[in-house]
Amino acid sequence: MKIAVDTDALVKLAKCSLKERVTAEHQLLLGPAVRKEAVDQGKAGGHADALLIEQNLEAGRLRMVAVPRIAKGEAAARALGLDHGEADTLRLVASGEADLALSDDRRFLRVLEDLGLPYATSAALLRTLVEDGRIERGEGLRYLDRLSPMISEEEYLETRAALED
Amino acid sequence: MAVKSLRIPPELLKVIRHRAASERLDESNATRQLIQLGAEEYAVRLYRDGKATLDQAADLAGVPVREMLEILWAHGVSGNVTLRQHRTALEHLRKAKRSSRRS
Repeated sequence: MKIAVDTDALVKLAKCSLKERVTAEHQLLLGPAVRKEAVDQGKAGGHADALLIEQNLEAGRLRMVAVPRIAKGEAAARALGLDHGEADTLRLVASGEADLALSDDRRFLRVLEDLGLPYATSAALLRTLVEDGRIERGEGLRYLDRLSPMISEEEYLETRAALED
Repeated sequence: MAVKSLRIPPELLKVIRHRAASERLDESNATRQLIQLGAEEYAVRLYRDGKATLDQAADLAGVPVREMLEILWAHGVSGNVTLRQHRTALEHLRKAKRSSRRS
């Protein structure tokens, strides 16, 4: 599956070390603005996750792609700010370059919903990897605990209950 | 830099003077710092309540997007995705998986 990731979700996946497990199963795509936010701004701020993301890009585990401008979603993309990562992510899904968007941002998910574009969240992605047997249940719970300071309480509790079930 | 004149109530003036004295700043600089703090807090609330995206919150706070994430976590905002959105995300993932298996 091709997944267009935004900065929010990319940084969270890197910080909880889930990124490698996700990229083993799915193709993670990102636009140039997401790279700038996650890598360039991250390195400038001294965040170790930025170096990990950069290494993954160099190793081809993450793929930066050109972002096509398309009619569908263009107005919404403009409203989000043309230079920004969320707009890149939206365009990648709206153009069909990616199957869905990966984001943990409520407002951005609502924009995607309004446009009828499919999305995933970090916790939902983890849950499906466990459901598919790609990650063992106990390991999934450990990833979830690492994700927990960065996801909503509702998502955490729902995912925990599903993984323990 | 734009120049704005405004009337400041005594309770806010007290905070400005406290900041100026404790940080050894003039009152203009202390006022700017406090407005910046307020802008950050405002951006955090908008993001937390799902009224702004991360990029929009960063713009309002005047900080890089990556820094905005740190500010949110420092304010105890762990995430803002709703239960409904989580369940919709699961449906989307399962549907996309079925489609990719078929193709």
